[in-house]
Amino acid sequence: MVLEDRISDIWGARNPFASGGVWPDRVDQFLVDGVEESDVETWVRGACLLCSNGCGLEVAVSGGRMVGVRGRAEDRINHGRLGPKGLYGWQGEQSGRLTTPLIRRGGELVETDWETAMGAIVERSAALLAERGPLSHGFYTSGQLMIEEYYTLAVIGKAGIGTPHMDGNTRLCTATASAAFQESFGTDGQPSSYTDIDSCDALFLFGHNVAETQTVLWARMLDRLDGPEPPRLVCVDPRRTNVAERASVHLPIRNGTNLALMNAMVHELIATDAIDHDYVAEHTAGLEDLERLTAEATPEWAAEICGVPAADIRRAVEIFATSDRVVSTCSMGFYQSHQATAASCQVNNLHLLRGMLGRPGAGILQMNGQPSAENNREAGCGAALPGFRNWNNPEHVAELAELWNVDPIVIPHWTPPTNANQIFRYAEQGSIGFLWIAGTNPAVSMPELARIRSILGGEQCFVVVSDGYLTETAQLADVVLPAALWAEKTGTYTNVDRTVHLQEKAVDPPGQARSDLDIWVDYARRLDLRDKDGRPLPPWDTPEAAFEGWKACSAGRPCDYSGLTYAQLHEIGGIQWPVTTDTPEGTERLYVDGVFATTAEYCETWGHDLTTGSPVAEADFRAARFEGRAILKTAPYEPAFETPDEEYPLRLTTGRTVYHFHTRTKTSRTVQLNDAAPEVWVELSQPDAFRLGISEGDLVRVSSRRGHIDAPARISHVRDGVVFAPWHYGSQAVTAANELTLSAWDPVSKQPEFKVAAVNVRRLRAGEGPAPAPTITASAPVTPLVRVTGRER
Amino acid sequence: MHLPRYLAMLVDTERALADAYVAMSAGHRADADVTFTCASFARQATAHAAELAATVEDRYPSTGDGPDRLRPAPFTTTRTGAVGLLRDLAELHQLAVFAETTWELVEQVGYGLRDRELIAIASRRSTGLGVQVAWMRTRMKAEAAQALLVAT
Ligand code: SF4
Repeated sequence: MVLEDRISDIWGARNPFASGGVWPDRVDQFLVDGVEESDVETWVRGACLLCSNGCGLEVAVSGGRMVGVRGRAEDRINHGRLGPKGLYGWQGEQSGRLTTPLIRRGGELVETDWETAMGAIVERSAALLAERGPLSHGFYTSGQLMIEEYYTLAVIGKAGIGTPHMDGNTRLCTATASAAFQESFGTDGQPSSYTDIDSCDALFLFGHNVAETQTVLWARMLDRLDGPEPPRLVCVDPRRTNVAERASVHLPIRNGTNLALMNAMVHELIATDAIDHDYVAEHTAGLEDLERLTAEATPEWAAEICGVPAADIRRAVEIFATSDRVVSTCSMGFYQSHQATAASCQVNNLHLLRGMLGRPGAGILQMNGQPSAENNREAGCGAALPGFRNWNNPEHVAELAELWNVDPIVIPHWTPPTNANQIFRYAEQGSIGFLWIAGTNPAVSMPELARIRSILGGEQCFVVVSDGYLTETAQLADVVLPAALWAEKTGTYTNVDRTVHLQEKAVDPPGQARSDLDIWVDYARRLDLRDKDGRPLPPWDTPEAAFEGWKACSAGRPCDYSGLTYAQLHEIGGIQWPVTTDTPEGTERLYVDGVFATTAEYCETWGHDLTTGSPVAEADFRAARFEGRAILKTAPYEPAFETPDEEYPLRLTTGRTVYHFHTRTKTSRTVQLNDAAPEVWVELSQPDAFRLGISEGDLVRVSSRRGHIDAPARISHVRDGVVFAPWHYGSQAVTAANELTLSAWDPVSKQPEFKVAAVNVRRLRAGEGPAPAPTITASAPVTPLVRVTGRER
Repeated sequence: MHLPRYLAMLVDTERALADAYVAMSAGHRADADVTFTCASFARQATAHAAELAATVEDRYPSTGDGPDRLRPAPFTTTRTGAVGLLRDLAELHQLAVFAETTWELVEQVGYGLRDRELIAIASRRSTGLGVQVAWMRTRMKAEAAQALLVAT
C-alpha cells in the first residue's frame, strides 16, 4: 500500500517492466486526516470519474461519509494506481453542493421545492411541445454521467419527444475520435487496448499530453520507458510537456498545422515504400486517392508550414516504418482544431498502411477527454443514434422503433442530428425555446464565452440546469436542479479502451439532490410520454433496469453489452466490450482479422467529404463496395480559421493542467489540487516575453477579437510565437481562456477549434512573485524561480 | 467559334460566385460554419477565375462580350434570420450549380478541341464545385426544418 504525496510525485514510484510483461501492481491509497484503515466501515467498488482513463478503485466509507479511496490491484486499467485527481478529487463533492432546487423569481434564483421546480419545467416544456413541436427542445449533456442516465435521456429525447437537438459536451472533447473511427472503419469504437502499451516497440503521441491528462496511463508508459527494451517515443506537441522530455523525437509544430505534418508523414511512408502491401491490398480501400492527396506533401513542404526540421519529420517516419509494434494515441491537440477529423484519420492511415492494428502492441488509441464520453457516444444521448446505428439507414431506425415500440417517424432521422454549436445557435435565435443542460458548464467550456452568456441569460430560451454545483452556467438558468454525483448513485461507465466499470452507490447525495436518472424519469412521467401501446416511456425507473434496456439496445451492434451483468462487474472490475455469449469475458481488440465495419448493413455512416463535411451519398458508398475494408481518407491542408496578423500576432492555444478537471467544479474544492494550481496563468516563450518586456509573474492582458483575459505570465518552454492558457478558470474576474477563442469547428466532427486563435499580449504591471502555475509539468519555468511560493517542490 | 465568348462568361460567373461567397461569409457571421466555409470557397473561386482568365486571354481571346442573358445577377446583400440564411443558401446554390454545369460543358468542349489543359482545368473545377454544391445542399437540409417550422 503506497501512502504518498501525489501532488509532488504525480506519477508515483516506477515499477519498470519488459515488453510483453504484465504491468506490476501498485496500490495507491488516501484516507483523510484522522481516519485509519480500521475506521473504514465499508469499501465500495467503482472507478474514478475524473478523466477518461477510468481507474478501478474502492471508496472508503465511514459514518455515511466518503473518507478515502484506494486503487483496485485487480483492475486491468490501473493495477491499483491512482493519480492526483483520483486520490484527492472526490473530496470536492463534499462542499459547495446544491441541496435544493432553485427557480428564477424577479430575476433572482431562489430556493424552491422539487414539486414547484419540476412543475415549472414541465409546464414550459409541454406548452412549447404543443405550440411548436419537438424542434423547440434541446438537450445538452455531459461526459460525466452514466450509461443508464444517457440511455434514459436518449429514449426520452429520441423516442418520446422526437428532437434531433441532443448533444453532449463530448462534442468538445471526443467527437473527433468518433468521427475518425467512422470515416476509417465504418463505425465508432476504439480498436485497441491499453495492454498494447505493454508490448509495443514504438509509441506515437499526437497532440496528447498524457502526463497531465491521464496520469496513470503515463505511469504505464513510464514503466515501459524505464524497463528493458523500452519503446521509442515520438511526441507531437507545441509545448515541452513531460512526454516531450522523454521523447526520442519531439515535433513541436505550430498549433494549427497538424494535417500538414500528417500528410507529410503519410507521403514519406509511401515514398519510402514502407507500406505493408499485402495488408493494404486485402484490408483497405482508397490508396490511390491517399497517394494523390499527399503527393506534394513532402517533409520539406511540411517543415516550412509546421516550423520543425524536415529531418525530424523523416526521423519520426523512420521510427514508424522500422518498428514492429506501434501504438499511437491521439488527443485534444488534434481533435480541437480546424481539420481535426482529417488529421486523426491520417493517424489511422499510418497504422493501416503498415498493417499495425489488431495484434498485441500494434494499435490505435484515439483518446476521449471526459470519463464517460464514450457512453454519451454509444448510448445515443448525443447526436448519434444508440448503438452506433446509422441514422441514414432505415433498417437501423426500424430496429430502434421496434425496440422502443414507437412509430419510426417519431425518431429524428429525417434531418441531420444537431451538434452543440448549432444547438446554441438555435437557442440564440430562440427557435430552441427549451434547453436542458445536465452535468456540464458551457459558460466556461464553450468557445466565445461572451456570446454563450448572452444566450443562456437571455429571455428567448428557457434554460434548465441539473448539476451538483451552482456553476457559472447554473447561475444563468431559469430552473436549477440539484443532482447526485459520483458514488452517490449506482451505474456504469466506459473508459477510452472500452473498459466498462460499475460504480456502486457509496453514500447518499446531499440535501434533496437526486440522480439524473430519477430526474429524467420524473420529467418523462410528468410529460406522460408513452409508447404505441400506452406504456410509459422509458419503461424503467431504476439503474439496473435501465442497464437491461441498454443491453437489449446494444445487442448485435459493435458496442454489445448483452453479456454483461452488474454482478460480473462487481466481481471483476473493468471488462471490455463487446461482451456477448460468445465473448463472456470481453474483447481485448477489435478488427483482429482485418475485417472492418464498412458493410452497408452494419456501418454507422456512409462517410463524409473531409474538407467540407458533406455526406457521401448512400449510392456512392454502396458503389465503392468497401465490404469490410478500411477506408484511407484525408484532405488537403488548409491554414487555421484565424491566423496571426499585425494586430494579433501570436497564436493562442488552450489546454489543461494535471491538477484540474474541466471547469474545476470538483477540483477547486479539493484543497490539495487547488493549492497546487490555484489561479489562472498564461505561458509565453522566453523570446516573446523578452520582446514584450514581460518577466515571470507580471500581470499581462491577452486579447483576441472576442475578448480578453488578465493573468500572470509564466515564461515557459512553449514554442516561440505561441501563448498557452489553461482553460479551467472561469470566475467573476475575466480569467476563462474561452473568452478569447472563436466559434468555429471541424467540418466533419463539428468539434470546436480551441487550439488556434490570434491574440496579442501586453504587460499590465509587475506581479507579486512567480505565476501561480505548476512547476513540474509542461508549465515549468524556463529558469528556476527565485522566490519560493510553496508550489515549486 | 462561340467558345471564347462562353468562356468569358464563365470567368464572369466565377467572379460573381467569389463575390457571392464573400457576401455570404460577411453576412452570416453568427453561423460560423457558413462564414468560414464560404470564405474558403471564395478563395477557390477567385483563384479559378484568375486561372481561367489567364488561359482564356492566352488561348481563346474573346472579341465581344459573353452571352448577356446567361450572365448571373450579382448577389451582394444577404438576408437575416434562419429563413434568410436558407434563402441565401438556395440562391448561392443556384449560382454554383450554374457554374458547375458550365464547367462540365467546357470540359466536354475541351475534348472536342483536344485541349488537354482546358480539360484538366475544367475537370478539376467541376469536381471542386461539386463539393461546394454538396455542402450547400447539406447546409440547407440541416437548416430547413428548424427554419420553416420553429424559427421565430
Ligand atoms: S488517471 Fe484519470 S481515472 Fe485514473 S485516477 Fe487519475 S483522474 Fe482518475
